[in-house]
Amino acid sequence: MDPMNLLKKGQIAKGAEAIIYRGTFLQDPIAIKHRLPKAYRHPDIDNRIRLHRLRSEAKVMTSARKIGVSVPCLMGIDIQNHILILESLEGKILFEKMDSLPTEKLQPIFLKIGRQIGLLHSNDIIHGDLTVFNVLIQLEEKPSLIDFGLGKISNEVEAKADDILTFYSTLKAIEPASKILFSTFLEGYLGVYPEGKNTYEQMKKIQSRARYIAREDRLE
Amino acid sequence: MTISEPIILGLEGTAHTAGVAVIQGKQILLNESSTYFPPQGGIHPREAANYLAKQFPKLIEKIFQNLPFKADKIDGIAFSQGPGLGPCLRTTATVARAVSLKLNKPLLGVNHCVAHVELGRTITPANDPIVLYVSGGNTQLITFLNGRYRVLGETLDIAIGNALDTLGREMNLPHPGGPHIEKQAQRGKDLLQLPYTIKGMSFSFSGMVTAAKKLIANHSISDVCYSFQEYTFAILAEATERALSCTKKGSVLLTGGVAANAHLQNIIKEVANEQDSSYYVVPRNLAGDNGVMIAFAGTHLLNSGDILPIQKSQVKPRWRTDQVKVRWIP
Repeated sequence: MDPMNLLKKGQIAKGAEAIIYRGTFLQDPIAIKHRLPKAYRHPDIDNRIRLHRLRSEAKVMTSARKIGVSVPCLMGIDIQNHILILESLEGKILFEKMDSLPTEKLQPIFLKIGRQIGLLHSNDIIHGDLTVFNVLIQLEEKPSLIDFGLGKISNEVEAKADDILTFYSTLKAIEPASKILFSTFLEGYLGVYPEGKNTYEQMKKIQSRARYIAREDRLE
Repeated sequence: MTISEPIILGLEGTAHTAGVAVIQGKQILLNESSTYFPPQGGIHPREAANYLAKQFPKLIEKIFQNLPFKADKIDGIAFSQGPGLGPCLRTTATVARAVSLKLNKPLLGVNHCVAHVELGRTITPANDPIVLYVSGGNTQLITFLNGRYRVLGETLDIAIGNALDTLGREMNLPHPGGPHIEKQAQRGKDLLQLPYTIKGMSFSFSGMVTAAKKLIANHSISDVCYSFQEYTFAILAEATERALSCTKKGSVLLTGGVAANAHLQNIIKEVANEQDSSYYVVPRNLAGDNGVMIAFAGTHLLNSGDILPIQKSQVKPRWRTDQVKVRWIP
C-alpha cells in the first residue's frame, strides 16, 4: 500500500524545518511532514541531520505513545523522501494559548504538561526541543507534545535537565508570570517523577554555566 | 518648526574597544575608536582596562576638537553600563561621569547588547526583527515582546566569537581569530565531522571547540576552519530559522562583530529566504563595538526620560538583555 496515493494534499503549513501538508487517510485527517533540504548548510551536514531527525522523531514518538504520553500517532514513514505521516491533531499552540488566558487558567494546563513530561522522563525519553511552541493544547485543555525531531532515548540527567531548562527559558522569554507557571509545571513533573528532583538540580547547574544570569532569574 | 533631535555623545568600553561617537537623530557626526590587540593570548581584563584608560582621553580630545558646534550643544552622555568585563566597565563609567559633570549634561546608562540591536534598527530598515547578535562576548537570538527585548535562544557556554578566537589561538592564528579563520576556511575542501549541538533555540560551542582542536593534528588548518564554520554557522542558522518560524516576525537582523563574516551573512540571508522574511545586516565598519551604537540607544533613553543619576551609575557586568525596560517601543 502506498499511503501517498490515498492522500488529498491540502493546505500547507510551513515550519522551521519541514513543510506540513494536511490530508486525509480513510477519512481521518492526517499531517504529512516533509523535511526539506536546506540550501544554507553543507549537504553532508544537511543529510546527516535530516535523516537523524526523521528516525529519532519516529522512534521517540512511538515510544512516548506506548507509555501513554499524548502525541500524534505515527502512521507512516518514508525514509528516502524524508516524510512522516502523522495523525493530525486539532488544537492551539501553547504560545498562542498563553496570549488569551490569565495565569490562573493557565496553571491547570501547566500542571498537566508537567505530568506529561514527568512521564516521558521517568521512561528515559527526551523531547529535545521542549519550547512553548511545541506543546499543542487540544479540547478540554489537554496538552499534547509535538515535534520530536531533536528527541532521544537517554537516562542522562543532563539531557532531562536540558528539556526543562529549554521549557523554562522560552517561558521566561514571553511570559511575565513565568516563575509561577514553571513551579506549577514542576509540581506536576515531580508528582509523577519523584527522581525529577535531580533533573531540577542539574537544570540549575546548567543555568549557572550560562552567561550573565541575573539573580532574579535564578531558581532556588 | 520641528524640534531638532538631541545630540548624544556615546562612550563604548565593555571589553577591548574604546569607542567615542557623536550622533544626532539617525546621523553619525563623529566616530572614533581604538581596539586593543593583546601581543599574545586572549584579552586580560585588567590590561584591556588600562588600555581603555589610555585611549579615552585621546579619543575624547579628538572628538571635541572636531565638534562642528560648541560642546554645550550636546544633550546627553551615553555610556556602556554593562554587560562586560568589570575593570573595563568601571574605566568607561568613570570617563562618562567626568564628562557628564564637566558639561553638566545628563548621564544615560546603556545596555551594550541592546545597543547592538538599536544600531541595526536605526541604520537599517529593520523595525521589529529577530536579531541574531553574534560577537566575541555574546551570542543571542533577541526579539521584542511585551515591553522588553527577549532572549529566545543563546549560547549556553561561550560566544561564537570567543569560540573562533580560541580555536584560532590553537592554530597559532593572530587575535582576533575570526577573520583569519574566515580566510582559511575559503581554502578548505573536506568537511570533517564535528558534533552538532542545538537545544531548542539555544546552543553551545565549547564542546565543538574541543572536538575541532583534536582535528588539528591530522588535518589541514583550512579544512578545520572550513568545517568549524560550516557546523557552527549551520547551528546559528537553524536556531534563527526556528525563531523566525515560531514568532512570524518576518525579518531578521544580523549584528555584532561576527556579523562582519561574509559567509555567515550569506547563510543568514538564505535563512531569511527560506522563511519569506527580509534580511538586514549592520555595515561592516559598525559591526564590532563602537560609540555610535551606544549613542543611538542613549537617544532612546533620553527621549523616554530614562536619565541615570550619577549616584546610581555603578556598572552592571552581568546585565542581561531582557532586564532592560524598553520604554521607547510601544
